[in-house]
Amino acid sequence: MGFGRRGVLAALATGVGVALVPAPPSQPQLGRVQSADGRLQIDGVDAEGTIRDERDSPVARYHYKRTDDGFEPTSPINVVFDLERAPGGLERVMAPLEDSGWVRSLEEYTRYAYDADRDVYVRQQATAAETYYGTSGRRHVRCWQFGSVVSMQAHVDTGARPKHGIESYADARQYLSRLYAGEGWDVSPQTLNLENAQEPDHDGYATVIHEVEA
Amino acid sequence: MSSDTDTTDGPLAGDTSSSTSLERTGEGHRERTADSKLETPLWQHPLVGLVPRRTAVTALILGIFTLLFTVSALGGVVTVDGQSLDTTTGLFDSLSAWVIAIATSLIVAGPFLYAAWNGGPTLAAAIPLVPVALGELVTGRYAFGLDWAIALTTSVAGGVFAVYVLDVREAGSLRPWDVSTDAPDRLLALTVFTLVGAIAVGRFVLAAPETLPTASLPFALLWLVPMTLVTRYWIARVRTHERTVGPSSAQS
Repeated sequence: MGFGRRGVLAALATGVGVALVPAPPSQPQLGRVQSADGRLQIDGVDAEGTIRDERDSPVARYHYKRTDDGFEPTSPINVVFDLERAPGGLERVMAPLEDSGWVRSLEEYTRYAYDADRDVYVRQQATAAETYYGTSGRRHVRCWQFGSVVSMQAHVDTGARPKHGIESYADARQYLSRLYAGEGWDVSPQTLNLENAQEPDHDGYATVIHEVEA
Repeated sequence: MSSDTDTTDGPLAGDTSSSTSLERTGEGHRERTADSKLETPLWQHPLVGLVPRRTAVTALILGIFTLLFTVSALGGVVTVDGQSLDTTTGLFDSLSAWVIAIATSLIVAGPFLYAAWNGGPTLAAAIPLVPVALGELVTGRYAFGLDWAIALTTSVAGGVFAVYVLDVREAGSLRPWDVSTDAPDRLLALTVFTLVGAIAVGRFVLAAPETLPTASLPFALLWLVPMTLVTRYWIARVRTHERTVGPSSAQS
């Protein structure tokens, strides 16, 4: 059909094009979440896994948005990391997400958590999501480290229509449990009762992930 | 046909367009229009857009988006007195909502609206990639996420659709391949573009099934647009070739 030389060029162009398009990020080895080992050594958390007084604990319970009247809770903290040691802890928590291709800069709202120790509201210290915009939905987390605890708010965004809504809290918590279990960290599902149950599907419990350093 | 369509048909006719515009602009411009092909800026090429004003409006929209995007991205980076800029006013939340909404519109609907409105396949294909590329620039990574997959899907579908729109306008038929099929280079370019997009998206879908929300699945249907159109062009091409060359030499 007279496509001989052109055909070869087209095949070459296809190869070059495919090579130039970015490759998908490497995917996490999702682990199986074992049952809780019951080990909870977080300040201010009692034997039942409940925080009696928020002012005594480094665990955040909500993230807040700033309003004209102060701060208003918007989403519940649902994953809490118990670190081996505080220095560099936040970055060690973010590393597995980054390795899974999550972006660390993204289009998102500014949210705050309450630092009981200093009695201030602190802007999100680290965030990550599967994509920059989440046009068709994405998993998205915001994190704060107070002391040797990282509090994470994890959710699945709905697609933008035109704004993001919350598709699920529970699915994000479940996915992250498997992701960190795959990293060899100790996952205790739904062990910390933060009494922050919220629509559409959050039961008020945070999954505690204990850091296991390699 | 409306007068608007008549204007848009102008640049399509290729060489004849310069003579048409020559008659319209009058004798005084003969010298200037004689080598109009050399003088026509790239952005006025029919592959970019049919009506320069509409192309300019589209470029303006992309420019405004880039500006909003940049301000929003800076809000989380720039600090004033040790305070992140986006903590000083709630306006950054509104800005983020706008950026996400506009990016989503550009990615999901941009190529198709543009193709139907102003033809040009290269700009139609570029529109959804602009916001995603900007995001990649800020994140500093070069990896193929879901936003890429959707943008590349609408880019290929919209780009091929825009070629079809050009042909429909030129041929005056919804089956333009029946009228003229003599553009082997273009057909190959379309095929390469479609293949590259399909392979890249297919590779992502296979590699990252865990990152595919249900809301993204309907976009798979969009692949029917370039697949159908490219196939249809190929069938017409093969038929024309058989008619002109004959079956015996086609086998050789």
